[in-house]
Amino acid sequence: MEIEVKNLTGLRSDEKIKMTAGEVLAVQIPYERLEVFAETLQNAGVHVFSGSLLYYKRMNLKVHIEYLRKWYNSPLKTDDLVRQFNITDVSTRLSKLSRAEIQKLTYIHALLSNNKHIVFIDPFINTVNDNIHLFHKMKEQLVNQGKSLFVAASRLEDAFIVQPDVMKLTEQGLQVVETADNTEEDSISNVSKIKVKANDKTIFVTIEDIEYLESQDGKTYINLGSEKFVMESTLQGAEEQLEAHGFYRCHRSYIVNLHKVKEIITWSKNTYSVIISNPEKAKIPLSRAKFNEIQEKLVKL
Amino acid sequence: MNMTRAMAIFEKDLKEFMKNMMLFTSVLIPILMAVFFSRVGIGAGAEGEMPPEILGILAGVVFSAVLFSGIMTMIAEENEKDTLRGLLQSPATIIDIILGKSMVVILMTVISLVASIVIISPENYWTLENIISLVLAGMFFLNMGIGLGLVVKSVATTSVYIIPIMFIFGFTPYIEMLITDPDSIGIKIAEYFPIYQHMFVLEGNAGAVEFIVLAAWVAVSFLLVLWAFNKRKNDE
Repeated sequence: MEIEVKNLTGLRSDEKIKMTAGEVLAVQIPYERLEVFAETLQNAGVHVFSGSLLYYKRMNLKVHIEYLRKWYNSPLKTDDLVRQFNITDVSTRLSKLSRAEIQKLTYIHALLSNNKHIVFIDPFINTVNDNIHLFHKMKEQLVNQGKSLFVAASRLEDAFIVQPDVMKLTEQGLQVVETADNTEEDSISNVSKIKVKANDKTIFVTIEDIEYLESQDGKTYINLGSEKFVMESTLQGAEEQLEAHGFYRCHRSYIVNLHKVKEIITWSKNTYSVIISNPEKAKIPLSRAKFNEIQEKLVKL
Repeated sequence: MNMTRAMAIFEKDLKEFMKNMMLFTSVLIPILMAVFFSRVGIGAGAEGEMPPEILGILAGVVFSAVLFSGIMTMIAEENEKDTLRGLLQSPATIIDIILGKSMVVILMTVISLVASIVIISPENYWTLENIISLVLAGMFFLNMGIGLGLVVKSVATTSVYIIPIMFIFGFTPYIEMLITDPDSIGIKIAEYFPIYQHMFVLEGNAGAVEFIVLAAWVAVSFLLVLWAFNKRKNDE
């Protein structure tokens, strides 16, 4: 199935997004475009799972699975699905279950669906880590079923949770997310503050407060708790500047403050995330190649 | 049409019907009314025979409270919560959904009607002619429910339709209590309403005319369904 990019961005483009059987796409799409995206794909006959949980609140999970299984005439067995997705409570009505528990039903729904093309929109917002593991389980099974999976995420970090190869949809069309450009930059060590710009103001940020840095569209962003600033330097430059302060380049487009790292989660064979100890528990992508190195660094910190 | 899908909907909605207090109590209302009528014996003749008006109203209550309001509420709830979005990928599936839901309400209607009639236990009720008149009248109410259910956007809106439909089509014989003059134009019009046809058949003095009038009502209600389908298709 092919989706024309011009329908998504509204701009002239000959590009097409191709959904191929047994393949997974992870694409970052700006939040404001997600609605158009969902609608376009729905009209194209793709099964779209957006964040809302459209189920019957009086019924329990087992009735739902049974019902969907029959509706799609799926060969999968209800009991197997209940076991695979760690559903412990099959007899409580949905209105009394937590969101995380109901979310498992969307994964099962995707497996049962007779549609060959499945789209998930922002599946990692409002979720728990256990469900991300289950999402990966579902992903593998969808691939085995010969279905194509398209994950659209508004946050780049979320797209990296799906797989290491990520694309993004911008004004220019569809782009592969690549290494930030390497340019020379003056490296100054032994600094305690870093200069960032926010509109007309120049702010000096205490280095220890930085949680992580990310590179997007050639710009470097500094994340401090709930705030985000643009930094007047490339990621490469920032890395040299901050290395001595316990920062680590855990991914082509991310630098993380090792002091703020809480844990590392393995989602599947080659997708990892570094969890930052902040209220949102931000999930920063970790390259496969850096998986061992970061652990050494964290131990020696 | 896909029977497996219709059956999937039927099983799910049967469970949903049982758990929805608003729908489930509607099945009990006519049964309670039947108990009430049989105890009090309103208007019972010398031989204790129940007048056809009471039986007609009972059928009207079953059709309007269970069949009509049941199917309309069930479709409206799906509209409101948007729970069908994931399933509706081909236009044909809406037929399966309606079919599955209709089977649930028809089952409940039969249970409610048979139980109420058994409680009153009138003579000569289950004649072939009367069963045909009940089926035709039932089809009229079912079509009305499907047509309006497809159009309304929320469960709250259904109550706008339930009360008028229940009074006009369900309780038609009560007009004789409002208008006492038997030659009044109101009565003359009311005598063409579906429940009156059923009552004439029940009294045993009906010819082909009553069945033709009933069939005409079914045809009109079917047009409503077609209109609602088209409206829905155009809205989407």
